[in-house]
Amino acid sequence: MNSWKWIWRLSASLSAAATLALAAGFGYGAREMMFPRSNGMETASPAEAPLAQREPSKDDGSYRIAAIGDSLAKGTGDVTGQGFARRTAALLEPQSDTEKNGKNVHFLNNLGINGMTTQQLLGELEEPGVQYVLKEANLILLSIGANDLFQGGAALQTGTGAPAADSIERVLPEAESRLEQALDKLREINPSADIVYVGLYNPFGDIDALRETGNAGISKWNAAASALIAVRAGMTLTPTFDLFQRDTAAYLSFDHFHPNAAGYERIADRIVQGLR
Amino acid sequence: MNRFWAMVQNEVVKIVKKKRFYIVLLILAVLVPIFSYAQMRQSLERRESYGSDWRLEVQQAITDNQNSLSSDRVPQEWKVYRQIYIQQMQYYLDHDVNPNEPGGVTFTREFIDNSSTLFIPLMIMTIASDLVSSERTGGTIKMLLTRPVRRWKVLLSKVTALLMFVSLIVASAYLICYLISGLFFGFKGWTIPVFTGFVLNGSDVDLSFVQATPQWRYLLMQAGLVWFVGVVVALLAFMVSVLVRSTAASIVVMMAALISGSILTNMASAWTSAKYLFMVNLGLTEYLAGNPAPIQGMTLGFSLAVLAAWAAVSVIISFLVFTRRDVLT
Repeated sequence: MNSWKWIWRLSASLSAAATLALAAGFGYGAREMMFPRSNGMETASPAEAPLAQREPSKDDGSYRIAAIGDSLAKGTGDVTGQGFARRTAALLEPQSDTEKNGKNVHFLNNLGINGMTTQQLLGELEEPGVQYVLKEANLILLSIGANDLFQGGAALQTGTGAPAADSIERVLPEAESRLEQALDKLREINPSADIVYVGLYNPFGDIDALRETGNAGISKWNAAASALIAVRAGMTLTPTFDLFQRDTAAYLSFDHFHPNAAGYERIADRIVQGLR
Repeated sequence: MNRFWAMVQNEVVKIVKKKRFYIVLLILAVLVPIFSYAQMRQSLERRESYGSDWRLEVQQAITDNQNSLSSDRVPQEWKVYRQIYIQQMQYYLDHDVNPNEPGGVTFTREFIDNSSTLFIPLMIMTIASDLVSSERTGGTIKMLLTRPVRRWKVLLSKVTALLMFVSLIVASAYLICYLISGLFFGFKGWTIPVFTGFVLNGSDVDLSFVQATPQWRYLLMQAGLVWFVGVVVALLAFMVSVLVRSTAASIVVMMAALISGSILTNMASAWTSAKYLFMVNLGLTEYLAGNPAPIQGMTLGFSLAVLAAWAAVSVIISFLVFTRRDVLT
């Protein structure tokens, strides 16, 4: 009988203490939640974020790869989901024993977002998290511009026909100046990284009605990008135009806009050639 | 008054003697290591792909969610959920705070978040569901009612004992979880900041009320909310136990209600009047974490009011039925 008394005393005192603490927690939580206090902070000041003020990573003798930009950077259309970014990393990996003393490869992040335009890229580059990734990397793969010129292949899908020549002409100057801003911003974020810009190809090369206007617009864009990149240190443009010119269908995925696995592999080959 | 506490003591001893509470503790002691181990494997795997840098991981999570926003196959309400998630994660990154700093305290917070709507109520039910019905199945109810005590006092002593055990169960869930997961992840993490006070306007997050709360305070608030849910579930299960003769039936009734709640919260966003059901309101900790409510128009105040109303009604019904019903068998 005595042990029951002890059980009662123990459970009564423990539960009294627990109840008090829990009830206090409940009151505290309910008050905090129902009458939220303003934190008196300016909400939008990412420039002062601790991440944005960090120093770029030190060179540790390895490739630290990050990709940023549109669906090509993301790898849309590649059934394995690797895209040229991860394929580049795989190709850079030391292949045989003789290359064992080659650089290690770390693939950090793929920040590619479907449908991204130069405009959105500029916004993205202000994000502290994005800046952090770019600072950590020493090889930045950039793909941007196709959505400015083609509106994400919308011309094909909606069946409105060719991306009119004059519409490409119209967006070109503005998109170009935004590309310039983006390149400068990238350089400002990370002064030492190698930046590889992946040039555009014409996905409509095998459609007679679209070939010429597409080709004209894209060569203009590539020429402009090439001119911007040529005068900036540590930047290269990897051309892809020729890769998709002859047998377009073989290297494009079902949506007839993005490359397929083989197409991405060819782009990655090119990128690696430029780096070695 | 002393006589009343003697009755409560009697009820508490009865509950302890039935060994249900030990079973609750045992279940916790078995389940928590399993989840801790699973979590540890998961974080090891993540470490392989992202290294030890949580910032890269969080940024990738943001980008992945941004990508799914442009997909037409993703339902609209998931998009809202993801937009909110993106903004919260960006806030963490902006302030350079790891949202998932590994540690026993963080694990406890997440474990309780996940178990507050189903697991902990279930544990409470194991005690509450047979409190009255077992007296009837065992025939001891006649002994109980032939004593010179008013019936409502008998019932009140049972409710008091039950509420004591609700507190004990919630507190021991925290304690066991912290002690065991601490062995896996270390016992640190009490002062890590956690952001609370994300005010949601549709898919937009108002950041002007966000506070950096030390994790121990977060746990305190969370425990309070879980305790409130536990009390409500206990009172409801108690009512069922008064109404239904068989213990098995009363457990099944409550389980069905709880499980239907967790199904409804996943699909009822189109049926807005479902928000008056108690079982979709059990996720109080979601409000604390800044997650969107399952049904539009639900806030913490609303959920508390709905739960309190259900609890009050079930107490009234319990007492009315118990004091008036003829006990024949």
